[in-house]
Amino acid sequence: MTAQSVTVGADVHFFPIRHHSPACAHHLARALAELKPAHVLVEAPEDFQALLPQLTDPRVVAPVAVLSLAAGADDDRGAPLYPFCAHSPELVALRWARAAGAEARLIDLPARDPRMGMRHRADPAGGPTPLIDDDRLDHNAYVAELCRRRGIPDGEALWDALFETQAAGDDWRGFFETVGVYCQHIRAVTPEADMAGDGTLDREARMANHLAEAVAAGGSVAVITGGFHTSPLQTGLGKTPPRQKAAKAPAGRAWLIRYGFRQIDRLSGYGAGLPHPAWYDRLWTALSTGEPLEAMSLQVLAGFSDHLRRTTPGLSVPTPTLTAAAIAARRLADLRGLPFPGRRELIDAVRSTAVKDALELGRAPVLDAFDVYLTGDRLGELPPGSPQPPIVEAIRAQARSLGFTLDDAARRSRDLDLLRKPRHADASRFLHALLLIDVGFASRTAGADAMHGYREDALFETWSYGWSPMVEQRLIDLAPGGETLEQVCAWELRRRRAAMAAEGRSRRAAEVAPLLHLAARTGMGPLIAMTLEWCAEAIAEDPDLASLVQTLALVARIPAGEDIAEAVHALQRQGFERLLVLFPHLAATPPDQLSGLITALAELAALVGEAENGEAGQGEADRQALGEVVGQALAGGPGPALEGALCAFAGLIGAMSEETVAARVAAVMDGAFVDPGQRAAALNGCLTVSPRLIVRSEALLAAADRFIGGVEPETFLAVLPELRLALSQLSPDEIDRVAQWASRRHGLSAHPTTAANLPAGEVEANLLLARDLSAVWRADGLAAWMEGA
Amino acid sequence: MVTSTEGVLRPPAEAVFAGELAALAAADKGPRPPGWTLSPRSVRSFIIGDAALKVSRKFYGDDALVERVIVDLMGEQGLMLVGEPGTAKSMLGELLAAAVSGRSNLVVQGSAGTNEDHVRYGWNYALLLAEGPSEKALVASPVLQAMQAGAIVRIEEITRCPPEIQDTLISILSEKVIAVPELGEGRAVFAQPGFNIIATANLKDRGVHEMSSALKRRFNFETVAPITDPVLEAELISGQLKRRLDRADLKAEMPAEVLDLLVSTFQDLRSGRTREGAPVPRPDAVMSTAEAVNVAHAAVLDAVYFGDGRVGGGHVARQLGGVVMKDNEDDVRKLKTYVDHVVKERSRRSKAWTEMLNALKAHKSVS
Repeated sequence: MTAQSVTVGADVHFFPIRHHSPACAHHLARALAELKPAHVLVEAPEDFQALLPQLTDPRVVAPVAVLSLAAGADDDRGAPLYPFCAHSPELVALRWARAAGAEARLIDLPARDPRMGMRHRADPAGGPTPLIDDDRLDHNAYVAELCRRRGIPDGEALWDALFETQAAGDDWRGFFETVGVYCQHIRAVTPEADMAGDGTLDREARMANHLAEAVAAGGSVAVITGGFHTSPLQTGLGKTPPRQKAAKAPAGRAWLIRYGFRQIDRLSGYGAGLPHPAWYDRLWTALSTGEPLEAMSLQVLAGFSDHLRRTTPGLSVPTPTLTAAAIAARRLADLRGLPFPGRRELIDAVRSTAVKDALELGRAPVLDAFDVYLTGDRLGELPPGSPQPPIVEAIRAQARSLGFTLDDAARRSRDLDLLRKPRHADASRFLHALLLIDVGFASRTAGADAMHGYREDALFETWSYGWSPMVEQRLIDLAPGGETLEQVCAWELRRRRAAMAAEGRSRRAAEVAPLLHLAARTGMGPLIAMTLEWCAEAIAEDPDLASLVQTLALVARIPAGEDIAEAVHALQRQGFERLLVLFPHLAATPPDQLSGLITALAELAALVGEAENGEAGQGEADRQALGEVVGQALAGGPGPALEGALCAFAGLIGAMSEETVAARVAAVMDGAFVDPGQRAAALNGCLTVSPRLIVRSEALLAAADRFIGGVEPETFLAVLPELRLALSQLSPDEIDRVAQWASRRHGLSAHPTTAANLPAGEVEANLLLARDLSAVWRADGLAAWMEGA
Repeated sequence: MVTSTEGVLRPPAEAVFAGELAALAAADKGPRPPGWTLSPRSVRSFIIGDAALKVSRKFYGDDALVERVIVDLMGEQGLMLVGEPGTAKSMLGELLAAAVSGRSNLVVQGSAGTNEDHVRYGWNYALLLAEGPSEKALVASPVLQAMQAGAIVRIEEITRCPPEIQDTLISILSEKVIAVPELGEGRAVFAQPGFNIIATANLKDRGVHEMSSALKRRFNFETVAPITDPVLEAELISGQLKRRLDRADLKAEMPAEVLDLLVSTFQDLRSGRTREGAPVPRPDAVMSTAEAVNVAHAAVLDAVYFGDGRVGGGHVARQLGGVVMKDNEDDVRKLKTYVDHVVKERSRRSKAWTEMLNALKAHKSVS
């Protein structure tokens, strides 16, 4: 393969790079310092050109990102975003251009052009889509074959081994020549149709237009683009490129926002840039200060050990292990023919020496911690007074119009009269929306909590609020979510649901229903509609009755205005019908879920009661349907606890008379079980669902009494825990009534004097003891305690 | 001591690959760690192959793992290979010992019966009684021999050894010395450079004798995972099969279609998911690559001695039954589900799968 020259003619210099590559940045800085080009062309959306003075401001601390937001509501291209690290070659070039007075020009299609970012998979949570893309550099036949031959697992690791670990030195020409050849080979195995289909060729034509303009303007030109695009620009030089218009793109507005290493690492999952930004940042620092790379690499290990000691001492690595890791990293680098241990060598060394167990699914806590350490958590900074994304001003304006004082950072308190003053109700919804996105503007100190059913009748809310730079910062962080409060709230809700889905919880209705509550509090129609739909999906799939009942209870507590009452009611119907489907299969509930299920039955009985107060007609039909399925569940042969609970439930909804309930529960209690505790479980189940039943039903009382009176002492001890649990459902007053009933039944007076049953001698001894004790207490100055006695 | 491997049922790795080791040693220019017969890079080439020197690949699936274990052996710590049964841990250990020390025969097989004699030293009691303690009367364990020779010793299934025997290794690993007080005050055997221990442990044996944390600290752990790439697994199986058949002087081979069937079946049942992503029930039985090689071997023998020499899906199916259906009722049901849904579907497009379906249907417990 012929080596390709980086420089074409005397005036145009091509620099094939990879985004976020410190090795590229390092050599680029040397090359620019030597060549001093008059024009610096960078592959970035041309509509970001106006932001260059802000971006290259010396006070800006990377990581930062340029974010493009839609201009109109009809634009659904989301929020394309272009992140910069200190070690991004693009930022290095743009900063150099500013310092050297060269013309900097961004040469890609505009950010919102439909042909931009077509290769990016969108974030399922609706997050920002990255505008940089190195996916092609890692996934192709050429790289796969190189990996196979060198025994390297993937393209990123190959890039590290070929380029990042070879970063030291002054030979920038040799470096870019090698990168150029590598990328040219990758391009050679990429099908033309793919490049035409995903907009790559159109983008390159646009870049060629800009290049032609810069060449025409005179002076030397440096072209900094992803290595994939270098060779066509180079071969097209001198020919007149077809005019590539950028007219199709809807106009957007761009904002410089601060960004974080964590987000950048996450974007690398979509093929944008390199993972573990903290590691590459460290490499960049070492390269630019001339620090020996071997020493830097070992310092990262030592830094990790120190970090663990300070943050998670449980995982900390003993010094001998750290030494062993350092030696192993060095030897791995030797074995792999690298000048110093890189990212992969360090990870492998930690994996070999610090993990003292089998790796399940390739993971171990200390490796996860190392992953987090190499990712880093640095946040960028913008100088004060930087223009802010519209969401900040939108929320400030809304807050002011609702009567909040934002002039200083002092915290204030405000009472909202929700029912009588519509503006106060609006303010409450606004604050709830801000709570949802967690901007730290206000916190509620008093008021009704519908989600947990706490003080639901409260008419006032009290809030403590205060605007601070932290609030502003948090809003800017949320800017990729949109530019109105509603968009950002929707983004947050989608993010939460995606997080649930990632943990496999998004089909559990009881987990999804709180999202509906949050949406309902903001009073924003589209959010409510969206979460209602999620709830409906979850209810249709949720196999767990307890979760459904919780959901129904939550939905019943939604403060439904007239606008959503119908939709909420439809959701309740759907939940109820799902209940009817699940009921007949309850007998198969595993024992560890029984107590949750029985509590749910109690809650359901209460819900049915409430619903009846609300509407007539419908309630009767529902009760009959429920009664039918309860009967089916009972016929399925449930265990004693569930049988007791189901009988009580049937009694409460009127599907079974109290006498029948008592008789059935009594029959279970008289049954034979290997574990005698099971006999009392029936009573417990029954009383959990309907604690009052035993107070009202003589038959049940009699059954319990018969049971307790008839059991052997050992059996009694065995059932005692269940029995105590069962009777603890009663209030003191009810216990008193049960006790009175029991004493009547056994021929004792209602208030038995204990002395009557004791032998005279014992009574006398007790009285003497009492007298002695009171003498001691008086002597100790505790006479006051005796007054009540 | 066996000096010749001629006519041996299973010769050690250094005998099987003597030619490759010689070629690597001849071409080896890199620095060798003290006591090693090859440089680390040549050890790597021996295990993952080197086309230029005609060195075959012997370990499949994870080259980075091979690099890590070689580096581990250069260090102070021992090397602990852990993983599910049948993931070629022992084979990797044997290859490493053959390449690093030139011999792989220093082995302690861990079992409930392993005692101190197997790890430290014992005595020739006739000599001991006749002449008293002397170096002649001392019977060195493989560990002691390895220390004297500066070689690698392998301890198989370390979690099956009683805890007190495991703990004997702690001082050997940290002090690299075994005292022999019987021979006189201060007498001890010091390990020569090149000495190290490769131990293996199965995840499913964890409950037998959990290792103490003191012992764990003296080992570097490396997890050997099952091969997930079907192409690699097929390559490995056919290579191992060829070696076994060559040894028995059998001229037979497995058609690609049948090999593919074998690999798919094992990968499906091992991972609980077909290549197309459909979930299938996972039997509890071990579905390792080693078992797949056994099945392939037995299927070929079946075809050669009882059939016309052509290996088909039916031969694989009959052997498969023996692997999956040990004594677990549940596994039989799971295999039946797999047959009813996956095998039946695939049999519409492939002859090998049809043969497999028919053979499994003929098997009483599955049909």
